[in-house]
This record gives sequence, C-alpha cells and structure tokens, in this order.
Amino acid sequence: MSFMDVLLQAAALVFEPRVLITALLAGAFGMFVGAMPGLTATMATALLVPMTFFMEPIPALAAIVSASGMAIFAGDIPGALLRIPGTPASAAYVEDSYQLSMKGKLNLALGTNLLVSCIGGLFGVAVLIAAAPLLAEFALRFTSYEYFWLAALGLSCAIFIASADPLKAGIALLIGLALATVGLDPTTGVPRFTMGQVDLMAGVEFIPAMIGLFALAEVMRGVIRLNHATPPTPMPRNDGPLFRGVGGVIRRHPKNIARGSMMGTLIGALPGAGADIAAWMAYAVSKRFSKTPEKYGEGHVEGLVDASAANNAAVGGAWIPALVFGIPGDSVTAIVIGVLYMKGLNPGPTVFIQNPQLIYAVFMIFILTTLMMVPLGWAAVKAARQVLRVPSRVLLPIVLSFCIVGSFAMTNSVFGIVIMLALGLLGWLLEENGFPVAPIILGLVLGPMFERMFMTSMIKSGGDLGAFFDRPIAATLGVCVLLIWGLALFGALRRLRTRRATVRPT
Amino acid sequence: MKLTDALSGVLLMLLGLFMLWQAAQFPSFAGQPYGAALLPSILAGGLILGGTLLVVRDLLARRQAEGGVWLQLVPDLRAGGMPALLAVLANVLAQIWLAPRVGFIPVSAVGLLVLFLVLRLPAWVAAVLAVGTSFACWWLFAGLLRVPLPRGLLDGVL
Repeated sequence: MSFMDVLLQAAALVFEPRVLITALLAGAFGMFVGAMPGLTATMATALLVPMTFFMEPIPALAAIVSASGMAIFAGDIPGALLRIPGTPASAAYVEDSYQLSMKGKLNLALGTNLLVSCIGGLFGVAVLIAAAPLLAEFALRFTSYEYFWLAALGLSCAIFIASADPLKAGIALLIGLALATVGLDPTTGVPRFTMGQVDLMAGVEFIPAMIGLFALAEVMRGVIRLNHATPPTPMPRNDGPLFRGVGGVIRRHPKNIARGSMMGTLIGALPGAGADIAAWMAYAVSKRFSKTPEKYGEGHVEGLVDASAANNAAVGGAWIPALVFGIPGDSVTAIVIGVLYMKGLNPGPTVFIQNPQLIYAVFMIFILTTLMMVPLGWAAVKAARQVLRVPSRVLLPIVLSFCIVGSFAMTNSVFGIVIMLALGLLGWLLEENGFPVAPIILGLVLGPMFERMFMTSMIKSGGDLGAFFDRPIAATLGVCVLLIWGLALFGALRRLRTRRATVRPT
Repeated sequence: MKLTDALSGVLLMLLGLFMLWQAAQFPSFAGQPYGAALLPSILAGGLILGGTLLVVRDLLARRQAEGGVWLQLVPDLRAGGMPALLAVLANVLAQIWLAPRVGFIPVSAVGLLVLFLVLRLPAWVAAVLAVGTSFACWWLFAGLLRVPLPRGLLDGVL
C-alpha cells in the first residue's frame, strides 16, 4: 500500500459526516467543561468515554481529541473573566490574563490565548506527525527489556518531574500499580486480591476508576466548598472584535511562540507530564529569559504567549509515546490508551504497520480539531458570560448523574458504580492529604504492561538482573531511569542535611 | 478527613503488610521461580518503605515545629459542607442498592431533588432539574446507547 493510498483511506475515514459532527459536538462539550471552573480537561474526557465506548474507533478518537484540546483552551476563559483557571493547565498565567482584562484588554488576552493555543497545538501535531512513524520504526526492534525500562521511565517521570512532593507521588503511583494487580494474574492466571468477588476477576475496571478519581472526587470537593463560596467576582467589560491587536502580539513574540511550542511538545511527550506542567515550565522559562521579568504577573502578555502555546502543544506531544509505545504522556492519553485497548487496537509500533490509515486518520483529526478551535473558541468567548453564570449548585449534581450512568455503562451493572465510589472516596481522601491523584491512573494504565514486561524479562533471563542492561537501548534507558532516581535521592539527602544544619544552632 | 502524614504512613504500612500476607498465599508452580506473587510483593515492600519514610519525615518535622492535631475533619467540612457530601454519597449508594429494584429514574429523581435542596436551590427549580436530568440521562444512555439501566417500577411504562 503506497503512502498516498494510506492518506486517501485515512481521509475517507475522517471526512465522514458522522465523524465531523461527533468532533464538533465533543468540541463544544470540551469547551463547556473546560470553561467551567473546577471541571478539568481530564474530567471532560472521562465523562465522554462511556459514550465513545459505543462508537467506532475513529469517531471515538475524534471525540476525545476534540474535547481535550478545546478544554485546554477554554480553561483560559474563566481565568481572564473571573481570575479562576478553568483547568489546571491555565493556572500558570491566570494572574496575567486577569490583570490584562482589568486594564480593558480582555479581548487581547483571550484572542491571544486562542490564536497562540491554535499555533501551539498545530506545532505539537506537526511534531507528532514527524516523530511518531520514525519512532515506531525504531520501536519495532524493542524487546520486553526496552519496554520494561520505558514503562519504568514513564513512572519515574511521573514521580520526580510532575509533582511537588515526590514521596507522596511515589506512594500514589504504588497504589495505582497495586490496584492494577487486582484480578487474574496475566502470567499464571491466579486470582489476586479479588476477595472472592467474581466481578473483580477481570481487574479494576479502568474507566469507572477514572470517573471516580477525576470526576466524583471533584464533585465531592465542589459541593463541600459550595456552602461558603465567595460571592462572584464582577466580570470585566468586553467590547470590540476578539482578535483586534492580536496579530501585533504574535508578530512581536515569534520567539516566545516557538519556544513555548517546543517546550510544550517535549514536556507533553515525556510520560507522566502533561499540559499543566508544560504551562508552568514555559511560563517560568519565559520570565527567566525576558527583558522585563518584573512585569510578569501584572498583566504582561509575554508569559501568556509562551504558556498558552505550551499547554496546547503538550496535548499533541502527549500522543507521541501513547501511540508509539502505548505509554501515556498525560492523564488524557492514559484514557485514550484504555479506549484503544477496548476497541482491540493495542497501541504500539505494530499499529503503524498493520493499520497505518488509522494513525493518519488520528493525525488528520488533530489538525482538523486544532483549526476548529478558532471558530469554536470565538463562540465560547462570546457565550462565556452566560455560561459562567450557571451556578455550581446546578452543575455539580448534573455531573454526578453523568458519573453514575457513565460508570454503570462501562460494566452494564452496578459494579461499575461501586468501583467509581470506592476510587472517588480514595481520590478525595488522598488529595485532601496532599497526595496527587494523576500517578494512580498512570499506575493503573501502565501496571499490566509493566508487569507483563517485567515478568517476561525475569523469566527469559532466569532472574539475572544484568540481562536488563545487555541490549544497548535497554541499557541507555535503564541508565536514564537509575540517573533520575539517583539525582532525586541525592537531592533529598542534601535537603535533609541543610535542614539539620539550620536546626542545630537553635 | 485530614490525617497527619505519620498516620497516613502507618495506614500505608498496614496496607503493604496486608498485601504481603495475601501474596504469600498465591499458589506457585514447580520449576517457575517467579510467579503471581513477585510484583505484588515488591509493591507491598514499596508501600511499607514509603509509609515508613512518611512517618519519619513527619516525626522529624514535628520535633522542629509544634505538631498539630493528629486527625481532623477537612476544614471545608467543618464549615458546613457535611450535608452536601452526605447527599452526594447517598445518591451513589442509592443507585447501587435501591435502583436495581426501584429503577434508575425514580431513584435518580428523588436523589437529585434532595441534593439540589441541600445545595439550597429553590424547590421548584430543584424539582424541574431533578426530573429533567434523570430523564435526559435515561434518554441518552438507555435510549440512544442501549445501556441496560434498571427499569424497576417503571418496567412496562418505559
């Protein structure tokens, strides 16, 4: 099959009314969820998945790509209007965009957000299109050792790069991995930790777990907070066309856009780190290299440009390890991998050979939805005032209903709801005590693969750990993992010593 | 519930011990040195180690600063969030225990009505929203997506 044939087949899959309408509706849904403070892009995806379960693979993927991309942009809207980031990925520059809007430059802030998000998103997609097939060819030669180290690298990144408290993130990850061992053991078929429950034989169902951790826990936190909520902030005025002056901003800051896009794609591609970390790091780097760092946080457009390019670029970047290795780049792609497995499309390099049209269809959907972001985003900004008036006390119970029905739909029994409740309570408790939740979902998704590769390698080598370093790529990856751990331990020891040193004089 | 890290650490250590105890009972096969128990045992070890580190870190921090209480309610819960939290949990539990007999729509409508009222929405708005949301969910999932949501009392009507 020639490359042209593949492209034509992919286009035939994508440019079908059903797929386009699905992408449009999911995009609108993503815009709405992303724009509501407290509802995140991950939550939009988690609530959408029970519906995509009943679709063909292509419309299902279109829905997820569309919703997650739009939600990341839409998170900027309440940031500028209410000083509340809609999603964590917008938190880095919320102060700047709110200050801009207080100075009467609301449209400049949101217009810049929108166009730069679109450019960043397209950059991420371009890298995805260029890098993924190359990497896949490379990955075909991987054995269980390489995959073991790749999974280990992803898990280590989730602990050390993506969190403020590596110890708690590590514990959360262990909990996720432990949850993944529930059910029949993949190598011997022995039931583990099932407590005699037949329903648990197949393991902890992933989507209800996800809905519990990211949606139910958020609803619980939301309703608890409601009774002493602060009165709504007055929204700044909004007049004139949305994109006035935005062209100038883009022309003045091409370096920022390029830098933000590149950082975003790279950080997104790192397993375990997603759009929110990309935005924070891009903002920090932008401030570090700016000529006017003192203006950051007071309504300066420069950091806004870097960071909003970065968070949307990260969305595309996160798909690189997901498609090529089956290792999620962030929590949204973790869901995507779950969905791909459910559809019988095991992500990994072989998909690129067996079903290249599917991969190119995903690329096309990415480009399409990123472009669609501009008109949809424009409409969302125009409608934002009305939408943001929907009070949380109306919204949260409705979200709760969707959580319940969505979890039920994944198992066709109340068992899905039971899992959702258990994980929702767990997620809420952990988060209240300062444990991050995202590593749990990473552990839950990567767990089965991690264990399969680990056990295969152990059995192959007869327990010889040296075999894990015999092949060159495996050795390189292994050294990377050990370096990350070594550096982290070194840093922790040094902090302990300085703390001791400061205590002793007293 | 807000726990001190030391308490969370102890709980994690107990979880690790429980996993070790369970894993020790997994059957192993002759000639196969690595079996179902290997990874769970390693993870359990990790949880015990992580729990211990949490305890040590928290105790060290306590020695430096006056430690707070060991266990307290989440601040927002003390500020009056409890009824809302209980209403959310009651909704979920009712869907697990009652809905298979009574049916999705009645359980959902009544449950949501209670939750909306607890969140201090005007009664008529609450009623309209509760019934509307329940039917919308039914239409979308049971109607369009053919999810077998429990019909219960409304069997034959719907």
